[in-house]
Amino acid sequence: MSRTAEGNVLGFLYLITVTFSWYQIGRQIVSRVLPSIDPDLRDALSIAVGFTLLGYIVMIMGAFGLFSKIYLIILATVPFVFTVSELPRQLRKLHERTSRWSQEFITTPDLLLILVLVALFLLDIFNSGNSAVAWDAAVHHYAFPKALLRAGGLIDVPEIPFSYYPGQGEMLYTLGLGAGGVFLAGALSAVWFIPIILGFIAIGRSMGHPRVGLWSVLIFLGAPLLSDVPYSGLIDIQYFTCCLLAIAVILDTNDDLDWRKIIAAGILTGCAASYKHLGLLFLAAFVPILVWRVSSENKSIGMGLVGAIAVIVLTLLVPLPWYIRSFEATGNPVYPFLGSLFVQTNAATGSFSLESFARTDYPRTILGFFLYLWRLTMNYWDLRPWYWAISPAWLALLPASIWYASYRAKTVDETQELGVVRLLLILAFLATLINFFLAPAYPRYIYPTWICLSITSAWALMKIRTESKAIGKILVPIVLLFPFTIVMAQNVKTATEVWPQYWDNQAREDAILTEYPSYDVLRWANLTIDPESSLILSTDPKIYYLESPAIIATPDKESSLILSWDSDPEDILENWRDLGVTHFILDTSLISVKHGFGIALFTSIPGDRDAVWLDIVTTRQAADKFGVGEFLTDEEFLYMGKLGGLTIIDDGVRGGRHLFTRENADEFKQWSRDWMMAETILKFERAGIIKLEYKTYSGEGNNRTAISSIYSVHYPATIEFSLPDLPDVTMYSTPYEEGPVDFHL
Amino acid sequence: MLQLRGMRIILLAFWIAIIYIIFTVNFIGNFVSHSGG
Repeated sequence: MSRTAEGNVLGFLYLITVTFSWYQIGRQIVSRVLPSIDPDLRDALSIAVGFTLLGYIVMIMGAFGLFSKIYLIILATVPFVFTVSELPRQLRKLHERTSRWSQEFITTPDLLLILVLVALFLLDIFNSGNSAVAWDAAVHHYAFPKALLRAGGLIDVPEIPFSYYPGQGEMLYTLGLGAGGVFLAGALSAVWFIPIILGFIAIGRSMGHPRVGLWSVLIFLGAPLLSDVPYSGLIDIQYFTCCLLAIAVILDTNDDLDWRKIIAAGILTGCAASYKHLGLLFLAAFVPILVWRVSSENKSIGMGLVGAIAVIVLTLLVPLPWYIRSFEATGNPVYPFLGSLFVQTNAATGSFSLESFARTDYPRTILGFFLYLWRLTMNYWDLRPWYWAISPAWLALLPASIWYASYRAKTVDETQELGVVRLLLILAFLATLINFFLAPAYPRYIYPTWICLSITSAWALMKIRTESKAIGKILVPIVLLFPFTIVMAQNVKTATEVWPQYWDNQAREDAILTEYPSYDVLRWANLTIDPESSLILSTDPKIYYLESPAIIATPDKESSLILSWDSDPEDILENWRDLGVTHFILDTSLISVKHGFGIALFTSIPGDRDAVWLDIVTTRQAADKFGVGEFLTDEEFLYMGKLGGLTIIDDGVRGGRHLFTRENADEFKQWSRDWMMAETILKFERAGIIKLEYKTYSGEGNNRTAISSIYSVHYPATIEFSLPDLPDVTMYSTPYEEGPVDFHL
Repeated sequence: MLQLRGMRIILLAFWIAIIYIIFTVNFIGNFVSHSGG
């Protein structure tokens, strides 16, 4: 058996031992706090609470410097020895559970839907062996654990500015990557699929319709955004599962909504915040509906208000160790947000702020809000190059949900049912509203909205079917299976790509290369440079794939260790020298970096003149002389001209004349600071400070561009030196007066 | 009353159909342009 295959078999065993033992430990806690809650919900809570607790155990181990493979394997296996005696009892109970399910889901379509969900879960576990992890994982969620494993403990990692975020998910990945490799890390995420399914079904039951719960899982997962998350190394799944379970707990009807449930809801929102700061935004939407629910269930507004305070306090208490860690390192417990309230000392030099985080391209108006869901459904895709991100069911069934929710309840059961639906609609509205103002329009930032709308959509679908069997017969299969089938097909396709990776190292390399062609340079670095004595500075933040220690130097996301790219080049070089940087990776597959070189060129062409004419031939000549010819194709230069709104006179001369003015230059420079980085790098290269070692290209012929390069760094012997000027390219343009004769400014 | 109810469910179903049709066209468009490029 190859080492890869052996590692995956062990990873699979650890997955079982870790999941079972921490489910059991979680169950001990949950059963004491909520003894008579819905059994499925109790199991879901046990996994979520158990895994979050495991995250803290890993954190404590890290604090004692115990991040070595052997200790992590002990953590993955020893708790199983103490809990395995429970296994036979649990298996016997499984029969009890399935018999309850078979009473609730009696029809053949129900059984088929359950089978489909089981198949998707197994596919997700299988796809966890994919070595080409999501971009965010390669940059942050796996890169941070890898740095910790290299250091052997939970240390400060200023090289990765994201390492000061709450790191509960990264702790689970540290265990996964350290004990079992990429499969175990991914599978420890995919396991959260179980609490998701159980949580939705529990909410369906609290409405009196378990089938609505089942349908809502299919609608929820009928979005690539969600089906992809379990094995992509993102931490969203843990975060939104905790949100889902907090909602399920306050809706559960097996028991009164008393203090124990309020405490449980607070712990769950706290767990959500310990994975992702967005848990705090969820809290803001969750608290008003908690007050409403607790007050109306207990006929006491006082209890609702005190309950809200308890939930807020618990939400801030659970992630407290992460807030303390962040405060110690950066002076800001909720780094990178609310920076203006704290004196940040060790933060990234980039422009992280709530304002920049929430940067959007849509108007923040009432009309903008109503168009928000439309935009998210039709215009956005997120994470990977999926062809859509979210389920059309949410927008399609929203009017029906609102319509049926406005009915007057006639029976006690209907009162309960409508109460749940109205609460979910209001929670969806609040969660969307808060994100509309405070977060960018990434569909993955409003998971709580999608959770609520999945349930209300499934409910509305059931109502339509009750009202008209004929319409229901057509709509139910379309809504439940149409996008879901594409998602399943995509998962099957991914599985065929992942299959060889289980056995063959070359297949793993190829898979990563297909996803990230610039991996070629990282691989070259891994094979060539000495990880013990080298330090890489990289504008390519996918440093998870590097074996050597590396500092993230992506403009606007620079590590606090390095001077930002708008500093004086001589000072930047001294900063590199002090840090001992030996290599520099330039990734021009990043659009902003690529455009940075384009802007540096364009703004150099006019020289002292107010306006000049360019065309693609002169731009190409200037680009080659300037040293950026390899980074952009002609098409990309033309595209930049279009993006910058340059006046184009199509007089038949070489694809049109582009008028470039001083105002255009100023506007280009506003795009980002990447052009300053580009100028500094070009000067370093001309001075022989950085020397090209290896470069990789993509495309062919006219579309061939350099996408990533690695340079060795050579420092001047003396501090007294001056960098050369950039090449003069002013001759590659036509003075304004000599341009198209019939055009005047 | 019955007529009004029938009208309403047709409107709701019509809206759902429109969203799914636009979504499908959009999806196919994106899919083709990505596969081709």
